Amino acid sequence: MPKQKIILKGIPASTGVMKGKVKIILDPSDNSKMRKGDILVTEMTNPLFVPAIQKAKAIVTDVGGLLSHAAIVSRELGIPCVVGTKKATKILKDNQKIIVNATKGEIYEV
Amino acid sequence: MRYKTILEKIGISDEVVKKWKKKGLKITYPTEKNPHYLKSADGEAFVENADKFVPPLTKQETKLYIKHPEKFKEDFLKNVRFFKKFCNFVYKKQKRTEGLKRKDKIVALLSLIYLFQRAMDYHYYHWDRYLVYEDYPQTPVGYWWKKIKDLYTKVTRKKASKKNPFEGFLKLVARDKEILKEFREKLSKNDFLILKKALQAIKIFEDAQQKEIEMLMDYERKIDVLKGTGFPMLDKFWKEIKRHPEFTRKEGRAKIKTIMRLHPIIGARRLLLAPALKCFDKEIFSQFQKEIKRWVKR
Repeated sequence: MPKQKIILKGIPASTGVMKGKVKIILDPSDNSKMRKGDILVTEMTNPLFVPAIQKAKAIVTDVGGLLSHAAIVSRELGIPCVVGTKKATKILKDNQKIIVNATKGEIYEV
Repeated sequence: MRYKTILEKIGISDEVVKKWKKKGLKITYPTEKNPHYLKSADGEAFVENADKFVPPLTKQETKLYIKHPEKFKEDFLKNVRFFKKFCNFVYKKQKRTEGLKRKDKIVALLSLIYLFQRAMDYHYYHWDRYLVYEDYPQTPVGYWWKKIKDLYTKVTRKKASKKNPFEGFLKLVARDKEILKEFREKLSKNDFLILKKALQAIKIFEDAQQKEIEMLMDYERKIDVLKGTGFPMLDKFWKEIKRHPEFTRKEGRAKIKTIMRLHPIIGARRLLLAPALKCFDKEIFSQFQKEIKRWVKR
């Protein structure tokens, strides 16, 4: 299998590997953009993002650490999560297919 | 008749000030750098991580909260409720500045923004930032986090770090049943008890964090208290300054314009430090100082 290209790195916050389409949600009023199985990409989460989180296969955030809201919620729900990538919302594009390796904290292009 | 301060004109009497101070509001002036602030691991100063202008927990508080994480949660959430009330109070009063003369309006808004910022500093940095300090063993969260890390290393001979926490470590923090079973078998009875205590402590800190975020959310307006109160006040202030540049000194206008363009969190901090405050008209600066001095604890 060819080595996949790493496009982003962050802090692994909840383990697992998932492949899916990116949905960038900067404001919870855009939660309806999320389809079941999408990958939620956002700056940081708060309780208003819960409807989007519940549909997400994985979460990637720009900021936060192992005890941030996204990290805690994703561990509780068992969703792979990479936090603190600093620029996920700028680098990734809506509907882009990616692989999130939340065990290593790496995001690959498909 | 006694001279009425500008904030008194919008209903903030000495009695009101006293009431807030009695409830525990801590306002200091001027905003000064704390030489012993903790930097974030990557050296960046972000709102969640570090700031040079904030009062950290005292030694006694740290000791108490390491021993009793539930006490931290209790005190922290008490402060969350208080902070939210104060932000809403300041925000409501800001609406009354519409009836003031132009210059008074600038003083009132600047003063209210300062009060908001100091209350926020006290909440976020004295309390909230400690919830993400897992990498600082001298803090309550860091102390218990290190215990988990050490016991993880004891069993697996791997060193978990922020950049490489390892799958097993994250599962341990998530209190995964399989991992816990494995650790129970591999650790001594005493070490396993310490691990359980550490995981419980981290859970208390996590719960405090989640509860805080829920409490500070205005679900009706779908916005958190910071964005719902502080940001609009700052926005209103900048609009006034754009409309009336004559209230800033000529030599300070370029500086103020630069600050205006910054992110509101960074912009508000810069605006409220002495070099920026001195860019305002002398009378505005002096009135602002008078207002704030009423709030400073003696």
